[in-house]
Amino acid sequence: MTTTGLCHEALLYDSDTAYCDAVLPFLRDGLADGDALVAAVPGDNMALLRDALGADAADVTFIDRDEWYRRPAVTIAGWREQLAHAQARGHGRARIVGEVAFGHADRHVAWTRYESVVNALFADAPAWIICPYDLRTLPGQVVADAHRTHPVIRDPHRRDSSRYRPPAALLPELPEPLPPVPGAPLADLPLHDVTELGAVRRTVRAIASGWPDDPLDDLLLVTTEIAVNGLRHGSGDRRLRLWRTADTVICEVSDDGPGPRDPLVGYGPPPDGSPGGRGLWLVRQLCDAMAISTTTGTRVRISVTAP
Amino acid sequence: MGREVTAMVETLQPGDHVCWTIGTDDEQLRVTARFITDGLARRHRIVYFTHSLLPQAVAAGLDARGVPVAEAVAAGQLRITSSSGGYLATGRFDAAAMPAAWAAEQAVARAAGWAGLRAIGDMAWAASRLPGSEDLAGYEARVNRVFAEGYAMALCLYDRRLFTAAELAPITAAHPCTKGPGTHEAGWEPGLRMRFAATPPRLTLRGEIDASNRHAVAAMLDTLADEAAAAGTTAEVDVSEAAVYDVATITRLVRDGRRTYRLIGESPQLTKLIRLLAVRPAYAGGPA
Repeated sequence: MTTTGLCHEALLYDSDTAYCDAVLPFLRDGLADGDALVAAVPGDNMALLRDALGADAADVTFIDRDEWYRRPAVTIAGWREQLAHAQARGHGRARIVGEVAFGHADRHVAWTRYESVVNALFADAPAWIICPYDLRTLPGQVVADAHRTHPVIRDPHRRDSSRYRPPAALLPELPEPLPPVPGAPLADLPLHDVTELGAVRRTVRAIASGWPDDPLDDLLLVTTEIAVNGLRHGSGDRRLRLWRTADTVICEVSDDGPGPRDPLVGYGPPPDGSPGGRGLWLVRQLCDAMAISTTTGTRVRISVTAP
Repeated sequence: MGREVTAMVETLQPGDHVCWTIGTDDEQLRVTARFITDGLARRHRIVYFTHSLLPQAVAAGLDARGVPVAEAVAAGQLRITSSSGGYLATGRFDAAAMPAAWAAEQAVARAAGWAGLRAIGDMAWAASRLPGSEDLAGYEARVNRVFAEGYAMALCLYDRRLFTAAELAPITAAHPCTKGPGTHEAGWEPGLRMRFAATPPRLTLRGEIDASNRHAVAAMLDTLADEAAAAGTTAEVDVSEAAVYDVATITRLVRDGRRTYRLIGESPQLTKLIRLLAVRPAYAGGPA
């Protein structure tokens, strides 16, 4: 079957039975329709689905959701790849079961924003996505937000969500909290122009002393990119601040401007053939957390953790 | 401004092309005196194109700062001219003609047996909107090709009293390195060195690439690709001693249309970034 356009549903379930009653027919119908089938789910649900599907399980691409849902922008890039593979294999549509790992409480907003962003970035994708929410374990706020990020709700009856908010409206109302910092910064530098970037990196290297090459190189690239971004798009006083905990470096670039107008900035893939627009996208790929605050001026804050 | 700052100019080597921002005439003379003294000792020929100061004033100022001006001029090692009597004699800046002029100057110095060629340019004329100066940043980027051969080097003086930060930004980025107002550290040296070999066409990058020099790198990559195509061979870029902290440059390395570069000494980090940036949204109907 060939369709265009996204269908994005939240499944609110409170038992294995409720889960299987919704997900199994969804996958089996997909098999019958010749759709590509992908399930990024927790281990116990993966076992449930594999058992129930039997030999048909071989037609489903199973993904460990704890690996899949680490950084929202990486997950988005991963879905794009999955969709491209599905299309390359001749499938007209992909059916996806995406059970988000909301993680620690301080990451809940980041993943709720991800659920919202999906509606915009995949609006035209031939994909039917069901996002299961386990009512037995997820906090009430996360479940309530599912009604705002999914146009369709199943609980278990399938219906339009009356509380759905398009991403352009929801994202500004739901700013991602800045990654926490431990007290006063270790460095607080004014930024005037790009000729200072080398000095900025020398300071970052000193603060991340002892780090192996891999996370250090990522950190140097992302601090350079957000500094350049602040210089190019910000206004007034620009400052760069750095903090460090045992295994994490946090960097913030602030300016007096209003911040980016596009609430989707950095989530989407780099525009094809355009030299710009990739900086924040790459930053989101490489950072453990990135948030933009526009309450007083603009603050872009990232954190990178050494493994 | 202490002695250490002018000492930075001694870290420059043949092949370098530096945007050196200055704030006073005294600073200009102290920096150039040190640059010239270093060049005289290394048997380099030095050509100084002045603009805001008369040639006689430059000569007197250098002399007062210990440069044996008369002796060096008599020996043919030092030439101080006004830019309006030199490459601006026609009343306009002919960016297209400049690389050939520099190549000729270089050939003459070589033939005369000098170990290198140092160019000093007081770029104050560009602030007066001289015809042709609108392409100054493009010229500064393209002329890297001449200096990157490793015989000549250039010290471009930009007076911060004459250029706004916005005017300087594209000019800065056209140079592989810039000594900006915030650079006061001892131990400073050029952030990036570019060296070019013609056969086979190969660009060697040493140092760090970021938004402060990305236009210089972009122009060299374009030139490299053109020359490799003309020679019917593959352009090589040696990045074994380079770190790329610029998404635009990485994008250019991997996605610049039909052009391809053979990268030598690519770090695992660069490989990772190239792979990330090469991801193409491939499903039909998806947003671009």
